[in-house]
Amino acid sequence: MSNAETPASVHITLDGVEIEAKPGELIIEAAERAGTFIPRFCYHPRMRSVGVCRMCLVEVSGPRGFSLQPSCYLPVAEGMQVVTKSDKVKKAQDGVLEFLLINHPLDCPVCDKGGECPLQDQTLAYGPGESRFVEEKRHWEKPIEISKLVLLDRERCIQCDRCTRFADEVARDAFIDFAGRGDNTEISTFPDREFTSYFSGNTVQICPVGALTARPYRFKARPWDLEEAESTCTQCSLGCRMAVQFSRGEVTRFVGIDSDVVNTSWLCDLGRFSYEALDSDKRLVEPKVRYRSEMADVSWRDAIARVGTHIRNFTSGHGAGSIAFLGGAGFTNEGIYSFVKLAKTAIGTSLFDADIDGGVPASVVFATPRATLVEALEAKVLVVASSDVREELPVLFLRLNEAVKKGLRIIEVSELETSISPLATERLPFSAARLAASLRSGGAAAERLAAAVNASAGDAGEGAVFLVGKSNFADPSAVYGSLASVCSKKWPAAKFLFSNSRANIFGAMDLGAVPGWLPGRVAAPASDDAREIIARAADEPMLLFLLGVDPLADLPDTALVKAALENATVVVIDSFENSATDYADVILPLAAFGESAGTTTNFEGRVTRLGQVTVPKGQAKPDYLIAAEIAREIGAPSGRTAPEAIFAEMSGELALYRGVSYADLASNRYPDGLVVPLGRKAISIGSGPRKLDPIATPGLIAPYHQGPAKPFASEEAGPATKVDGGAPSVSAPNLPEFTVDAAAVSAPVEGRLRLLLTRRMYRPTPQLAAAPILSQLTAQAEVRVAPATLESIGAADGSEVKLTGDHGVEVLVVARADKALPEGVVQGRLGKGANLLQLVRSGSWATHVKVGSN
Amino acid sequence: MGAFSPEMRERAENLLTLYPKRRSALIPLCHLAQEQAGHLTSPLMEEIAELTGVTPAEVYGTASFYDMLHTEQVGKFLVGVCTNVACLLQGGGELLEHAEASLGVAAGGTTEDEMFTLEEVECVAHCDKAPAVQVNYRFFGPLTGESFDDLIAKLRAGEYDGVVPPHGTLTRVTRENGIEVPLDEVLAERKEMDRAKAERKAAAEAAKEGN
Ligand code: SF4
Ligand code: SF4
Ligand code: FES
Ligand code: FES
Repeated sequence: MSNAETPASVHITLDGVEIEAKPGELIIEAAERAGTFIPRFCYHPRMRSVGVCRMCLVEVSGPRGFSLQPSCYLPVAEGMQVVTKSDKVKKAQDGVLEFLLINHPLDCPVCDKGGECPLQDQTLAYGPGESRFVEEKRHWEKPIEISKLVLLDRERCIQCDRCTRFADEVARDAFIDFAGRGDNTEISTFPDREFTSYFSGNTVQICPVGALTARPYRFKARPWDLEEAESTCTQCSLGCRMAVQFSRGEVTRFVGIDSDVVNTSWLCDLGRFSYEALDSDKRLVEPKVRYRSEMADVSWRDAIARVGTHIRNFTSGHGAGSIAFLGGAGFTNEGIYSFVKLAKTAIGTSLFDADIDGGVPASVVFATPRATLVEALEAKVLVVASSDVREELPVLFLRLNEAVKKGLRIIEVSELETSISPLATERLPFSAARLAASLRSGGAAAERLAAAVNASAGDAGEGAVFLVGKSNFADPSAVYGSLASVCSKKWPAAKFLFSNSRANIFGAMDLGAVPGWLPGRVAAPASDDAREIIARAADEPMLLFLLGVDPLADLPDTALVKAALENATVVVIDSFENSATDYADVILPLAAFGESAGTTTNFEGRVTRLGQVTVPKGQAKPDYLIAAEIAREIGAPSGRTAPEAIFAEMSGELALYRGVSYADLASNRYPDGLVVPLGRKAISIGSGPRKLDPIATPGLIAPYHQGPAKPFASEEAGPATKVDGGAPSVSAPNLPEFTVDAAAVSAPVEGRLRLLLTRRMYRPTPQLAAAPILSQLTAQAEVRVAPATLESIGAADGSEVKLTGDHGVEVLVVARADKALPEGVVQGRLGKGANLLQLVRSGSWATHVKVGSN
Repeated sequence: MGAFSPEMRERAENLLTLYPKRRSALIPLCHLAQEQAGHLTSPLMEEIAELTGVTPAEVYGTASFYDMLHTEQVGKFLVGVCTNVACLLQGGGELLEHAEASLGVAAGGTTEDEMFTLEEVECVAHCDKAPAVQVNYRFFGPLTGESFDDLIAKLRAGEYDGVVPPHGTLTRVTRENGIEVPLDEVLAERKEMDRAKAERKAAAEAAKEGN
């Protein structure tokens, strides 16, 4: 759409040298690309320019000669002359810094930011060296706790407006703002309210001074003592890129990396502070086996021997089909591959289900063309028919918010208002089941969606992207499979993303850790899923391996799950204590994040490396080693025991990973990993180390190696082979058919309300429970009810009500009045304090509850 | 349930209709809130946030910027003693000291009976009557210690009730018959503006296509 008026580039003279700049680019950006660093505080490339700190003043030519102008605010123009190093500029920089330091306490020796502080660095590089200020500095009470996670030392603040801009523009959580005026200006929350943003940690990362600090890191380390390794967050399947910083074998901090294709430097607080749990005493650190009724610490050898005996006994007594593996979505790709080989080849059972949430099934995920995140953000139209994005894939919400500002059109399909609703051009208030049924056989819902999609993307859906996920955790997964499947049929050119949110669930699908699939997206005969396995385990003898899951917390039908765990022989392989460990016969302690190397796969299919920065706590071992030891114990060919070797085997044997090498994934050439299978568009070519913070020189440079200092062979070896190769090497299976009883889903039931179950970011997980500060933020379970319904049973907002499920189960839970609820439904928000999942019966099309007074 | 009284809520909603963007009504609504409660209570700021579609923190941030908006309790009478040049030369400093002693609060403080809040203010443009004092933005001067005490006594006794309304009262916008919002006119004008804008846009696009 470029017309004659916008030239491809403009020319400016920077300190006497002519350089080329992009039209509309800011001087500070053009200069930086040309290698000239202009000092700055308030400028941040991921936020709107405000030009408030004046640190970036440079001389710019104009009709009346040269004048000082903020280079972060002024776009380049043809023929512009810019001087960044004159005496005048130097004097301006001196002056700005002297003013900033007037009220700055200079408590660097006790300030967390000391050593990585742009104010410190830039004062040294550009400052006056001496202060003429002899008066009293201002004093504030310090620090004040603006949330459980973030502390504020107001006298250190230089009013750069970064945190407040972030909260308002990026996170849409303007819970902090400037208060007061002049030298009384302070960052403030509303009186007696907290800065309860899911993304508050980012303000700490971007604050150019030590005004905002994070409680979990405060006074823990000095930046110059920290080592760092690049890694990927595994708290959800978005897979944000981050640097893991550590000191003396202990993880001290996570810092978001500015990856264009994934998280543009942001992290959510759940991901950022999840490391808190790594050192907790709720970690499982000893192998244990049950002797009579007591669990006793034993050696690995004894524990593995016990597991081996169980496998042999069950195989000979009840057949390999009596052995099942649940979970694994939190494991590395190498661990999953090793366990799948153990289960499906060595033991010979097909019972393996990592998708414990019953999200969109692998058969649809593989059969639909997958979009990348960038494709979704640049789509002609994005249809979001998913669980609340901010709760499930938090940073994706930030990316969508940014994309909407740049013109992305979002059509939301959701019965309930979600965080996406204010961003969406249109919200279609339909359930997934109703929409799927209507798309299949015609109806108003389908017509409205078609009108919205076709208007931007045409009948074939070219350029449209669908984000599909489980919006109601009471629904069976077939509902969502069916929705994605009919959409793909109707819009064959559209691409898809899925919001199944467990860390490596897409890696688990790719590696055959789900029913009906083998490693490499190879189809196998259908087999039981997690719910069916549990139902069987309740009345047949079974050996259950729980791979980092707690079925009591994650599966419906709690009574049935309890019966199954009591009846079955349970082997728990996990990093944290959970309610299932009480039922274990054997516990094998699993290395946690940062304690093992490997790769992980995000929701786009992007495979990235995990940085190992320390050794496993206690006796814990990495997932792939545990699998290898069990395999050896039962006499199977002993698997490989190094992640490099396992990955090499994967890329050698599975077409899906062809052309991807473990070393490439950690090189500067592919800093954001690679999307598998490799296709024409799969690659993002990196450009060397990226700055963690764009603000200062030297500043923090993102690490370019993962794992303790190890050079990468491919680094100098020229472009990796085959990465650019033609069409994807894995062909998609046919779109599966699902039978959904649409009538059963939406038929009202007399005297009862349909239950919609949703989750929140701080959901009670074993890892959250083990994190001292995050655990205080764990969401409470609640049920949201129409005010009239509440009134009719004589209950008040905030009081307890009794929910009675279809099969008579009763749950007491706090009720909240919600005017925005559609008719005939209640919204149950999962959390601690009440287990709402037990109201759901596996296999039923819809769950209805009676709301009664307590 | 709301923090605004029904009458104030109605006035607030009327005010909102005057602005093309809801958040533009923020400051006028803060004045309304002060008229009702004398200062901006937290529940009132929360209700303003809800009405204008911003967060309470943003309301607080804005309100705390302005000296005439008070986020903390103030007395019925806000007494400002000027200590700027003209008044200073005429004994404004001493007057302030006297006022502090006689009211028993330091500048910035509120008396226990919540009748008076004392402030030190910059020039209030009453220099010809220096040293000057303003009470709820009504001016008195020149004052001595004695006449200051006399003024305070009269205010306390209600003798000035007709002249100095309680803090927050918006005498400029309260008319006998309430505020008249010429809603029809405003809407007609806005419609016309929208139409003109659309026309300009169409013209610009036509020009572009012509290129
Ligand atoms: S707290 Fe930090 S980020 Fe926020 S305005 Fe102050 S200096 Fe800037
Ligand atoms: S959005 Fe997901 S991947 Fe990103 S930081 Fe949060 S939990 Fe981690
Ligand atoms: S004014 Fe340019 S960086 Fe602050
Ligand atoms: S100096 Fe006091 S009113 Fe002007």
